Amino acid sequence: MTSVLDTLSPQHVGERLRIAREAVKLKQQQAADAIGVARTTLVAIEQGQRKVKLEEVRALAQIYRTSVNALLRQEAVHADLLPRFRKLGRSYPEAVDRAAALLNHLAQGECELENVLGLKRTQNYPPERMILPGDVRIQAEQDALELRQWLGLGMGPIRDVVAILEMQIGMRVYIRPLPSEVSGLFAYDEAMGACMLINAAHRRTRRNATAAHELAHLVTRQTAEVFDKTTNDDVREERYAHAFSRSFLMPARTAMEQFKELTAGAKNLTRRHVIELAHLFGVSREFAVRRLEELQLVRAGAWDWFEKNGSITDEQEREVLGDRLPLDDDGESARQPTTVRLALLASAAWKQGLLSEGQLAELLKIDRVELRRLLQDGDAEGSTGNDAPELLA
Amino acid sequence: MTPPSSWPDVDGPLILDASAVINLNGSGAAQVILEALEGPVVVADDVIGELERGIANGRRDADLLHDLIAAGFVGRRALGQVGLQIFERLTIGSSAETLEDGEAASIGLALEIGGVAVIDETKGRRLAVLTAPAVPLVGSIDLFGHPRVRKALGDDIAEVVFRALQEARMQVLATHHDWVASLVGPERLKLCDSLPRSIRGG
Repeated sequence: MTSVLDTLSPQHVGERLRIAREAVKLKQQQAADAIGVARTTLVAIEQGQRKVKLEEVRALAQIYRTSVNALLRQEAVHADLLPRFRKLGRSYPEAVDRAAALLNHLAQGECELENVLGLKRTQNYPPERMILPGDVRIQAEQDALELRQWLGLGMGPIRDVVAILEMQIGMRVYIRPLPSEVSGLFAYDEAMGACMLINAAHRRTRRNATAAHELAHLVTRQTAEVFDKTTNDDVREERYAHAFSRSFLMPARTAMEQFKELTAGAKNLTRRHVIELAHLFGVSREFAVRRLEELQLVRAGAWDWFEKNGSITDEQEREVLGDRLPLDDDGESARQPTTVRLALLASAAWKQGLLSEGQLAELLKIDRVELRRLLQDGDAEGSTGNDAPELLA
Repeated sequence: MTPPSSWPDVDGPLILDASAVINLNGSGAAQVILEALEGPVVVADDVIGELERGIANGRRDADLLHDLIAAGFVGRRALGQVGLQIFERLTIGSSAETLEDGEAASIGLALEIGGVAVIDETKGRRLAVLTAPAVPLVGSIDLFGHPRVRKALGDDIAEVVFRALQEARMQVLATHHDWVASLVGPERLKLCDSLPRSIRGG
């Protein structure tokens, strides 16, 4: 009987095996030792110069903590985002590595489900803007305003940046709990498009700022970026991204007009002013005050003054905003093992008999009972219900 | 009401897929059920590997399976040449025509040792019929409906099936919906999200 494995391109199989090995951070020697071959043999397999045997793939799948089917099913997407993040050399390698692996896994899972279902995600990426010589802040301000116009957003406050990125621009955005030092990750991949992971543990206002920051990296078409507490303005790209997010979320003229309205008759910037302004623009209190400093509406050091004088507390925010205090509406969905879109795609693939429960559990890296809950809850009709109204298009 | 009998007239060992192991664990009565079945019950090594990968997500199914193996209720087998050929055909190819390793290995092992495969999923059953038509298939629910199991569980059968439906979200073959509905009763049935709404009512 002809071996199915022999019909596959050795280069293709080798590439998939290499990506799987790198995902679990095993060296070639370690992998070779584990399956009892010489390192040169493993190198030859990964380079497609030697066909891999079934028993070798089985053994490799085991040490790579995956399955033969996940490695070798046709529509599987084998994204290679991790090495580009590792090259960034951040000072939190473990935290960044885990976050990058999560982004890689979520994006490739979504891509594979799209492939299986024959779907293509609509991409409406903004025109690329190169960072030019000269003051990056001026460029960022200009680019942010242009993008607002391009998106038809006008100059008003944006309350939900993530929705714009997902629905209008067509980015893959995932909101998941990450180590506290990491705000977000951005990656641009030819096959998967622009992907973003945002820390669910941060507040909605901070997530908005992270999303706007990462959007700047899409505008300049960077291939990978980590936004964490080591990110600083020494790097031009970061200086650009910071300035871009400030201008995108608080355009100068709108911020000046709102500031004038709010502070009419006042001689000092009060906590109430800050809370109202931050609420209006959907940003954090610190973000709002620093933008006022930048626009020279208050003296530099205003935020530091608040910090030294008891800061501005959540309690004060609750007192000022009362019922207007927005709920952190991503909190619950961020605790789910996957995203709403992934769950819907998984449910569709399962109902159509395209992917089995075992395949989906492996693809989404969740356990079987959790998957069953997701498939069944995603469809209130129950596991085999098919009497719901039919879609016409 | 008695369950429909879908047990094949074969005296081979029972081969449990990962799904069946999870359902038995969820029922809380795995040992009683396996003991009552009397015949040999086997899992492929690949099923153990699949369940072990679930440990990272906090599941205890691999541990519980190891306990069943240690206590002699379940045997484990590696695939031989015949099983490996089926495994290869069922794991490598287009997504729609392949299965996860544990599912594929269960079908391969059943063919190799003349066993009865316990497979719940429509896709798994379809591919099993296509690839290894000689392999008799039953579903997890058949384990609960076996005459010796019903006798061993006595009045507890309703509670045991309900736990499998609730804890493991067990899928039930359409042929067994009426039996499960009468067994579990209308009130508890409403809590079983793995059953179609038409069966659950409400």
